[in-house]
Amino acid sequence: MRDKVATLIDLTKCVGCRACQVACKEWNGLEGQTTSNRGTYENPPSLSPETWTKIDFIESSGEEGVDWTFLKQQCLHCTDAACAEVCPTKALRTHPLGFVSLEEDRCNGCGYCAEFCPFGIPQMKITSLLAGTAVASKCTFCQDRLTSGMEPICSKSCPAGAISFGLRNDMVLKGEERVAALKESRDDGAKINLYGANLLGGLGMMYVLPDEPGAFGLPSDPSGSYSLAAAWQGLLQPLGGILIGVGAVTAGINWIIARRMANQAVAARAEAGKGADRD
Amino acid sequence: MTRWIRRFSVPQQWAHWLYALFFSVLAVTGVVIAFSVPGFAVGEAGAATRVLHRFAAIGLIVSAVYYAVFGHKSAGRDMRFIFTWSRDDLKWLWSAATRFYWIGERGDLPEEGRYNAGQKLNYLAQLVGFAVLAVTGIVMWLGAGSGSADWFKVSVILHDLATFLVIGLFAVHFYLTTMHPLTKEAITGMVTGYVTEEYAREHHPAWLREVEADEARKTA
Ligand code: SF4
Ligand code: SF4
Repeated sequence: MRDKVATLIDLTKCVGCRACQVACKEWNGLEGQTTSNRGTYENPPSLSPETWTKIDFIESSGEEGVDWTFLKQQCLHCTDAACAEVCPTKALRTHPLGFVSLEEDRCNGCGYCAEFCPFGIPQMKITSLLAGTAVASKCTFCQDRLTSGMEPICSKSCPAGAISFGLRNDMVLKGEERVAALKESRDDGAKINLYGANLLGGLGMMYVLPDEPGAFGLPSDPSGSYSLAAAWQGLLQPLGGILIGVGAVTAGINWIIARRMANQAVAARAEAGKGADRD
Repeated sequence: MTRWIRRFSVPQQWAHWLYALFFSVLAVTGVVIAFSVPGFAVGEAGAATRVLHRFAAIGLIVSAVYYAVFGHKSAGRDMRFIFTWSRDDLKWLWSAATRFYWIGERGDLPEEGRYNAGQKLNYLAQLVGFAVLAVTGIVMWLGAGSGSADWFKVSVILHDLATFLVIGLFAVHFYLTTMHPLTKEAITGMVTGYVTEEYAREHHPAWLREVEADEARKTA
């Protein structure tokens, strides 16, 4: 097995230029979207089937007017991925390299992944509103590039050096070192943390966060959804299968015994009938 | 001459067979999706299976509503009956499950009315299963992507559990009414609406007495 890879997204370095956002569209052939001015530089407003990664502009009032912090949103490529756990078609799968792949051809549009992902990542592209059919879409960690030995396009395109890519162990180390250094050097260092080193079995995309996860809308404990999904798929469904098997066997045995008894009863009645005739 | 006795009203028969039809489609498509049966669950085929599942769901709900409206007399009687339980019913369940269905001996089996305790339990549980499946199904259908993730998750899992319940019940019901050597005559009742007097006497003696008392009152 090859070693797992990961990206480390350092939000203390992100300048909000959106080069990654554009590069992602370019590489993955995703259409541009028409949006309207909402009084913010953040655009488009949310992830969508055509936008797999997107910079959130989080505004706060600072010394010189508005302060921004940025969050690069995309699939976090969980090791314990709720989406892959619930996906009935195996369109979503955890890849040994440490990312969650998506094969759109396999997707049947059930939408379970979108509802179970603790980060709200998968986006359903509706193909027929009436019939309720759709296809899931999300960041695939540039699965085509990764499996051919290249780094994802976002890390390649980032001019600020905010996105590093490499072996996961190295990325965790790098993140820990970076957090430790920032805690030293920055006045507001206390809140700086590494997000995702151990969450959900280890995320394939980790963040260096300048503030608590909640400030970025990230759950500090996203494990509930995966536990629920795993209990459902790993426990309830097999249990149901076993019950059905036991039931079928019981019915078979019952049929054999009951038939024998019924035949005996018929034979006994016939005997009695013959006896009566002779009398 | 065999005497035939009306057991099920015409709306009851229609409702039953329509329900059976849509139930079968739902069960098959549902199992196909849940267990990802090759060839029918993945990609476009899977999308088609899901669409079929939804149309059948509408059919099922409509057939239940049809019964409640056009069969309201029998439906009302059913409801009163299945929600009335006595100690004898429990006793019946026990001795039927451990004795009667195996060796055909009535022993101390209490006398059955229109429905025996097993049929009552089946009816009740199907009703509960139907309600859970309909509500959770609607949540999954209309609630997808509307930010109702917790409801959706709970619904998906409840839908799964209720499916095991109703398919399990259906299997028992199907087995007892069409295959079990001692009770398979029951299917005739639902197909024709009538059962023989012997069948009624053997399996629903209390009900037969009621029917006969009714007839006596009418002719008197
Ligand atoms: S972030 Fe969501 S979509 Fe991505 S792997 Fe985790 S559960 Fe799946
Ligand atoms: S929508 Fe597609 S990818 Fe998502 S869980 Fe369903 S089949 Fe899998």
